[in-house]
Amino acid sequence: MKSILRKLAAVAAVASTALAVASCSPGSQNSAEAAPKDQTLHLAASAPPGNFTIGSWTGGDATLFLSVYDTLIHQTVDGKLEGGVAEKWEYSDDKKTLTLSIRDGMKFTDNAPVDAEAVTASLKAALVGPSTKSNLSSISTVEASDASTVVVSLSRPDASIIPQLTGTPGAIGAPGVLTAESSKLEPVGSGAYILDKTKTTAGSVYTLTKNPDHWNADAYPFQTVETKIIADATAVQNAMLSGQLDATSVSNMEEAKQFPEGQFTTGATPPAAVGGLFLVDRAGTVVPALADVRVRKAINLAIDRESIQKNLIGAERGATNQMVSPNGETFDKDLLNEHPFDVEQAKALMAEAGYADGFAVTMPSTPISLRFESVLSQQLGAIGIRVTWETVPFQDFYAKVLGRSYGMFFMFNGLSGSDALDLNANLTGVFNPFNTTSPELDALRATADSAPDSEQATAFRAVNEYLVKEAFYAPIMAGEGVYVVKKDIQFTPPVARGQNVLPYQPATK
Amino acid sequence: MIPFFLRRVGAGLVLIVIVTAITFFLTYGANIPVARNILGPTASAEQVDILNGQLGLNRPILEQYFAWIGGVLQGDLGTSYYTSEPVVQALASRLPVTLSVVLLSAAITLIISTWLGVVGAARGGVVDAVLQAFSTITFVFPAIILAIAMVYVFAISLKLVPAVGYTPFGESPERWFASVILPAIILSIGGIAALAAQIRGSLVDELSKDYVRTLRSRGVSETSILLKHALRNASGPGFTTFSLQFISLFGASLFIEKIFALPGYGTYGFQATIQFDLPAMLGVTLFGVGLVVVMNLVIDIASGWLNPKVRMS
Repeated sequence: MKSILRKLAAVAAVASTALAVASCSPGSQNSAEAAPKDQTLHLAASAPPGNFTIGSWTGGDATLFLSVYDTLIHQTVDGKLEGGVAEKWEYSDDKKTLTLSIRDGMKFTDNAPVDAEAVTASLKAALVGPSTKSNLSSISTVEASDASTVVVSLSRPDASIIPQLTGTPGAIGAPGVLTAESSKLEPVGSGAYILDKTKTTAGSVYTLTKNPDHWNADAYPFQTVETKIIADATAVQNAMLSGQLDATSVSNMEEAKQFPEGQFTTGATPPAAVGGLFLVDRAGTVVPALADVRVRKAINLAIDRESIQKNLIGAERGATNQMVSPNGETFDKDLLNEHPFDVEQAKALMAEAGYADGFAVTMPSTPISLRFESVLSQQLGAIGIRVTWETVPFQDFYAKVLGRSYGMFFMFNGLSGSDALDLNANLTGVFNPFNTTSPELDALRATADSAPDSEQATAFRAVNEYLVKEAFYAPIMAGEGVYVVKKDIQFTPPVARGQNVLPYQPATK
Repeated sequence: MIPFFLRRVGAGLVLIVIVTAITFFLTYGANIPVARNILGPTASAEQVDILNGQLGLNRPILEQYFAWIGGVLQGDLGTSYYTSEPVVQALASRLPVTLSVVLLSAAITLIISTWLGVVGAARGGVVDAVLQAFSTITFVFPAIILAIAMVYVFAISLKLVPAVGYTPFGESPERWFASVILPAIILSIGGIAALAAQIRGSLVDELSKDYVRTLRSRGVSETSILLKHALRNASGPGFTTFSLQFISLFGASLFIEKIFALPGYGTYGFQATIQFDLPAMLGVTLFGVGLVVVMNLVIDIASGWLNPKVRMS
C-alpha cells in the first residue's frame, strides 16, 4: 500500500515533486569546483527504496536508484535527450531497429567493463523485470553486435522507448550480480555514486559516495549524498528548519512561507501531475451513458475547472482540459477552448443523448478524491448526474478499478517529462481498465510512434486532440509543485521526474 | 519454582502461536493486492503475476503459513516486500534505537516518579498538593504539543539537539544522547504521574504501619525509615505499575519515533502496517507479543519469588 501512497504522494498533491530530479548535460551545470570537497547533500524521501535489482525498482522517486546506476540515455533538466551509457543512438528508417553506441572506457564499481555485453544483459533483465516489463513491451530482441554496439529490435515503432531508456528501464547494472539476491540491497552499477553499505541502514538512511570513475564525475560536486527516510511531513519541516536537510518540497507557496526567506530559496517546479475524472467506461459496460461521447463532453462542460483550481488548490493557474504537461510540445493552447464551463450546453448535450434526467454513477472515494468530492457532486449534479461516493481502502483501489467496478473515477496521474510516456500511461493499466481504443486512435498512435523526430510533436498533438475531442477524460488541473532549498544549494527544477541528484549544485557565491 | 516457570513459559508460547496465527490469517487471508500495490497503477496483469510468484503469494495460504512457521523455527522471518531487507535484520537494527529511547525514558520516569512520590508522601501538605498538581498536569497535557514545543525550542531555535534522526552510541555517545534525550523526556511525561501516584500512595500506607512507629521509637532516622524500610516495602505495587508502563513504552514509541523520524521498532511497525508489508507486520507482531510474554514472565517470576502465594496459585 505504501507504494500507492508513494506514487500518489508524488502525483496527487498536484504540488509535491521538487525532490524528483533529472540529469542534465555536463555543460549546462554550474561549476563543480564551487563545492568544498567534502560537502554532503542531505535529502529526505518519504518511503524507502524497494529493491535495487535491475527491473525490480518500485516507487515514484528513483533518485537513489539512478544515482548508483547510469542510464543508457540522459534527459537534461529542460527535457533534452543526451548520451549516457550509450554515447549515441540511431533509429532505422522504419523505426523498428535502434542501434546504441556504447561509450568507451566505462567500468562498473566491481571493475567489470561497461560494454555491449553488459548493456545487453541489463536490458534483457529489464525485459522480464516485474517493474519494467510493460515499459519495454515493444522490444522483441536485444543483441550485442560488437563490443560497443547494441542492436535493439522492436516489434513495432514505439516513441516511448527512448524516454523509457532515460529512466529505470534504461539502467545498466554489473552483469555479475544482475540477478543475485545481494543486488536487492547492494547495487553494483556505474552511476555517479556508490551506495556506501557502512553508512546505510535499509529503510532508514541511505548514503551515497561519489564514484570518481564515472565518465561525467565532474558534473557531480557533492562528495556524499545522504538520504533520510522521513515519512512524517512535520518531521521533514523540522529537519529543514533545524538545518539537517538541504531540500524538500511543499504543496504551495503559502506552505513555503514557513521557511524564512533569509535561509531558504523557494520556487515552482514544473507540473507534477494532471488530476481529473478518468471516464474509463467508454464502451458503457457498467455506466451505459458513458458510451455516448455527448455525455462525456457534457461532463467536461459541467466542470468549472478554474473555480476548483482557485478555491481548492489555491492556485491562479493550472486549470487544464488536457492530460499532458502544459509545458510540453503536445499541449495545445487552442484546445483549451474545447469544453469550456457551460452548464446550459452540457444540459443540452445530455438531453440530446437521451439523458435529460441524468443518471446515477458510483465513484470510488479515496483520500485523494476526498477534498474534491463535494464540488464534483455539486457540479455534476447540476446536469443531473447523481454521484455516490463509495469508500475504497487504498489497498483495494487498483484491484477494484481493474476489476471494472467503476465507469469513472477521480485520480491524478504523474507527468514524466515525456508526452509519449504520459499519453501511453493514460491508456494503460488502471487508467484504461476497459482497454478502450478505436481504430482512429490506434492509427493516430501508430503514426505518432513511427513519425520522424521532426514530425513527432505534431503527430502526438493529433493524438492529444483526439482524446480531448472524444472526451476520454475530464481533466481538471495540472498543478505546479514548490521546492524549498537552503541558500547554499542551487536547485534547477527538472522537467522530468525521477532522475538523479544532478539538479542539486552548490550555490555560487 | 521450576514447574511454575515452565507453566508460564508454556502459556507464553501458546499465546505467541495464537496471536501470530490470527495476525497471519487476517493479513495474508485478506487478499490484499500486494504486488499490484507495489508495482503501481500502470503495471500489467502479467507483471503482477510475476511479482506474486516472486513473493510466493500465489501459493495456498496454508502452505504460506507453514512456510512462515518453518522459517521462524530457523530464525528467518522473511524479507520485507518494500525494503528487501530480511525482517530479522531489520528488527535487530531498529531495536537499539527503540531501546535507547525506552530505557532512557524508563530511567527518567523511575527517578522523577520516585522523587515525586517520596517527597509527596514524606512532606505532605502544600508540597504534596503542588507535586500532585504537577503530576496531574503532566498527565493530561498532550504530549504532542509538548513535543512540538520542545522541538521548536531545543532543536530549531537553540539547535542543541537534532530535530530528526538517530546516532548510534558506538558512533558518538554525545550525539547519541542528543538524538534520544528529547524523545525520551516526552515519552516519560505521561508515565511519571501514574507511577508517582502509585509510589506516593503505597508509601503513605507503609508510613502509617506499626513497624514504622517501632522504628521511630528506636530512634532510627526519618531518612533511613523512608528510603531503607518504607520505600522498599512500598516498591511492590510500584514495580508492577512500572513493568506495565515499560511494555506500553514500546507502543508509545511508535508516536515518538514518527515525530523525530527515529528508525526504530515503532516506525518500522507503522511503515509495515500502512504498506501492508506482510512479513514485516508479522515480524513486528511476533516481536511485540514475545516482548510482552517475556516481561510478564519476568514480573511473574519476580512476584513469585517475592510472594510464595503467587507460586502456589
